[in-house]
Amino acid sequence: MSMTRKSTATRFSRRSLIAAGGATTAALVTGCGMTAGGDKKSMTFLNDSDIKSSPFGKAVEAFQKKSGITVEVQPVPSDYDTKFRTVLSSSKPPDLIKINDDYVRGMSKTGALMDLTKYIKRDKLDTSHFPNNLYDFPVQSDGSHTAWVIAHSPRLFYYNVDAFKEAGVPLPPTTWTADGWTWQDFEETAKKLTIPGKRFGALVYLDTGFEQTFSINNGSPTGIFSKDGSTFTLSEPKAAEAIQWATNLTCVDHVQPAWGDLQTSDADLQLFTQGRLAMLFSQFSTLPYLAKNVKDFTFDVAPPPAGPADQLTESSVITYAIPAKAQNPDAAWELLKFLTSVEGGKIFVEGNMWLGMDDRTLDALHSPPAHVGLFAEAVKHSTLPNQTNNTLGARDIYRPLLDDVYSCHKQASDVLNQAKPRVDAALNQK
Amino acid sequence: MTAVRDPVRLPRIASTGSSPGRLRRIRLWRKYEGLLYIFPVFGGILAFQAIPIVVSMYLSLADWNGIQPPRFVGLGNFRQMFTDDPLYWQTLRNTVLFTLGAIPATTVLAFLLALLCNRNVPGIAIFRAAYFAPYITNIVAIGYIWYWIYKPDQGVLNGMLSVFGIHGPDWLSDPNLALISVIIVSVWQGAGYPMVIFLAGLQGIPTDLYEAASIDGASQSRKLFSITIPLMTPSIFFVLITQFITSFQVFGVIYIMTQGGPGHSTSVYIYYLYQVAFSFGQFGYAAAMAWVLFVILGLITLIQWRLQRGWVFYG
Amino acid sequence: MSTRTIATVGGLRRVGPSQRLLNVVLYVFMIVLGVLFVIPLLWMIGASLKEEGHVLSSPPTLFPLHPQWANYGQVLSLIPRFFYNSVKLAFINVVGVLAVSALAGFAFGRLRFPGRNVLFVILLATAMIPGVAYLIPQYIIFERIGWVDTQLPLWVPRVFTPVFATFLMRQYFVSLPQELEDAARVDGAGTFAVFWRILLPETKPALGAIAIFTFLDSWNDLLGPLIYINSRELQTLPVALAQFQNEYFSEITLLMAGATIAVLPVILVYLGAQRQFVRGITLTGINR
Repeated sequence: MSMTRKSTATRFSRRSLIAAGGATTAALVTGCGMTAGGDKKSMTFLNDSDIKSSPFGKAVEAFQKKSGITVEVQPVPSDYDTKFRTVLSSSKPPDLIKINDDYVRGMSKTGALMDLTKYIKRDKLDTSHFPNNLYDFPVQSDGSHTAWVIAHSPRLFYYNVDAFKEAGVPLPPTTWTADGWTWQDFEETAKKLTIPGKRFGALVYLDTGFEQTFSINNGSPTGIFSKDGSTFTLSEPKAAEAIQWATNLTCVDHVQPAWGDLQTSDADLQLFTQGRLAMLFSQFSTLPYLAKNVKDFTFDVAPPPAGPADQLTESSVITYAIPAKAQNPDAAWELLKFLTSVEGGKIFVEGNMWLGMDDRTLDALHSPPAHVGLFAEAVKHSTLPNQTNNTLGARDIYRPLLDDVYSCHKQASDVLNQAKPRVDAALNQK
Repeated sequence: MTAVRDPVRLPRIASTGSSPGRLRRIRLWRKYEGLLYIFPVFGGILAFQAIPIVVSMYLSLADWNGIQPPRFVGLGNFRQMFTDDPLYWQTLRNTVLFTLGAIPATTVLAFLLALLCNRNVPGIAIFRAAYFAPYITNIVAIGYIWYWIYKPDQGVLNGMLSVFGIHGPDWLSDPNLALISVIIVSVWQGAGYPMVIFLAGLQGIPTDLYEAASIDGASQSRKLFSITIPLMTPSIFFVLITQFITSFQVFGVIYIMTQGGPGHSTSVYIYYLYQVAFSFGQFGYAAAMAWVLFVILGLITLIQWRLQRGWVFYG
Repeated sequence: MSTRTIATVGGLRRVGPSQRLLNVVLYVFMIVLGVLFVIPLLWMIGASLKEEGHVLSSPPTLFPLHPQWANYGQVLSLIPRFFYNSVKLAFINVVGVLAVSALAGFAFGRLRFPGRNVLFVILLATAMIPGVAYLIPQYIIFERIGWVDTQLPLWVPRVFTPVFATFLMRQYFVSLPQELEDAARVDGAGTFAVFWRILLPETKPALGAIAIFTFLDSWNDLLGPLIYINSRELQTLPVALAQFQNEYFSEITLLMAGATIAVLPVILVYLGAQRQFVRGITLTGINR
């Protein structure tokens, strides 16, 4: 807290001046110089899930063995945002923190995050094997690199092979092609797979990644937000049309579960594993759940259907940052480097948790599903929503309004255009 | 609890002709000894809440993102809240509606359950546990069960309605209905707490009052209205005051059932406050919201406190 | 005629057949209500034994055909330490809150001292400020005094600021008859003796209620341990259960198994404490 205090120098005795001087010097010394990078042998790590038994945990273990640095993990399996902001306001934040990708820009502006450029340059890091758009995600407008993408998770369509065979429908393509896999084809396929009361053909609109994916594929130049993040472009004709197309799967074709029926955790996954949903648009990170729990049929993956303009898919980035006030940033940096190295990344891939940043880790992709290699292909066809100063604020305005669209009460273009002025205002506030 | 008992024989204080000085000291001690008993509670408040509360008062007059130093903005937060934030008014309105819907229903239900459970029927302990069960069931489980009940297709409610040929509405996805649906869940879940308070209160009523009334030929309902309810007013008062304070701060059931949707029709005050603080990182604004809530609750409690003379009967 | 004698709140009573019919109807109603109230709990237990992929089945089922007891094995291997921590903290909280609130409730309810009403209002006022508003300042203070990553913030503040508990005790103490206190004072009892020997025993039902709620408050506290505790050995049960839900999917069966395990001590405490609400009615069951 900033409180100005008038110092009356005449009141200080000589002794207290010396004491004050000593204290200031001590503070200066500990603030820079030898201990600036901190104790290189240990670090604290705030994460949003308990990683002990997960592939992530294995990666951290491997790092500890290899580097000799002790990592004290502080798992926060719930209410991560609350703890995250609380520890960042303290004087001793952890050395490494998970950060929601929507917060990166806002937090960078406050100076809370350390610029990693100095480390990148110092170690002459080879980033040639990283997907550029994902790697550059945390780069700010002033060129500073304030967070680090350690992995990513692209989206594909998981589908029920047995259901296709039973319905006599040709299987989706096994390569990244638009042949026989346009939006039209997809709709037809979903209709043939739907058995009213027993099985739905497809689920597209629950995973929010569909907004960017389908709007871009339909011909929107920028997807949800403009390139500079200052305007809302989901309301533009091509983008709104894509939203409406996905909605019509429920409201017109009745091949998609109703919006109200999906509002509980794992509703979509349960439908799929019980064979009541034939095609599910979801991330790579859903794979462990499906691999473990789908027992009654075989499932596989397919690229998203090709829109008139393109056939891309959104990949979620998993971002971490070093707080500016971290005590052991050097050690934290070593861990970051390890996680994006081939060795670290392979552990993620083998555990079906995320795709490593280094494309050489993608060899470790393994079945099931049979065509898991499509996830590696997805890296070459990826799209990301453009960053803004207030993505959260914007979302909080337009997403609740879309509820009315998905429930078949209103049209997408009406709702989105109505929301646009407010969303634009939110994007440009302060 | 029995009414009159023989006074307990306790050792006498040596009553050797007390001097006026001594009497004065005893009177002085008697006057202030209460403060000693409340010392732990107030020590706690001073130690753990006073400073954070004062700091949050300052924060309400500032802009603070938690990282950079706070920037004083005077009444700016309040001005924005009242004139430039439609969502604020919506959450306030939703919260008031929620409170007005939930409190009477919960209180009446809890009172009925307590009356039912205060009888000596076989297995009464099981009933008491059963009616308390919703209060202790894991919130995720509650979310699933009510999701099933409210599902538009094939949900329990709409399934029953379809038997009568009625096409049931979208209980949780219709902005006009969602709040009511959530209130029902909250009443069902929350009745256990006041029920326990009422059960405790019912124990405090001397049985000989009922015996005397029986002898006089009073009916069950006469007993209820002339003995039970009047003597329960201190407990009812407690329940009303605490229910207002907690209902205005409802969070969990909203979070699990609707996350503030559809639209913002079930977004309530504390839910929005949390968002403002921890999603948007605007701690000054959140503090301002908290203080406005305090004023509202303070006024309501003050009014209730003044009114208690009119209806609360302390034996 | 077939009148029977039953025991009720007001003592033994003779009941005629129409009254008996009413009693039966009421009893059936209680059973129906009880079932409705208990179904989610039953579903929770049933879900803990299901196969993960079929937890949310349509139509919904209560109990699975093939219970997966392994779910419990998996959960039990993960939670002993957290269970112990939660029990320890809950116990400290209950004992502490009972002590502090009884003392303060007694003073507010039966003693006169200057500033009594003002102080009571201030006490109540602290409950009306949403805790989330001063969460961060409080955290920063606790950090300065080194209480972060200890269990102290999880009981010391709660034990020393039991607002509703004090309020309840006050209500109870106020409604006790003055004759009790007068008789004791005439016999020369000091204030503490009046409190400890005469009045406090009469408040057992309120103490029971407070024990239940303090236990629940502490047992279910998620945010407190989440914010203040970093080391695994000090962590509590609700945080441990949260690990079964991540941002991609939930392991519902394991979560429900954990929740079932977590609810057992609550039921025990509830059944134990609610014996304070039982009237000592003697059932002689005389039939004629």
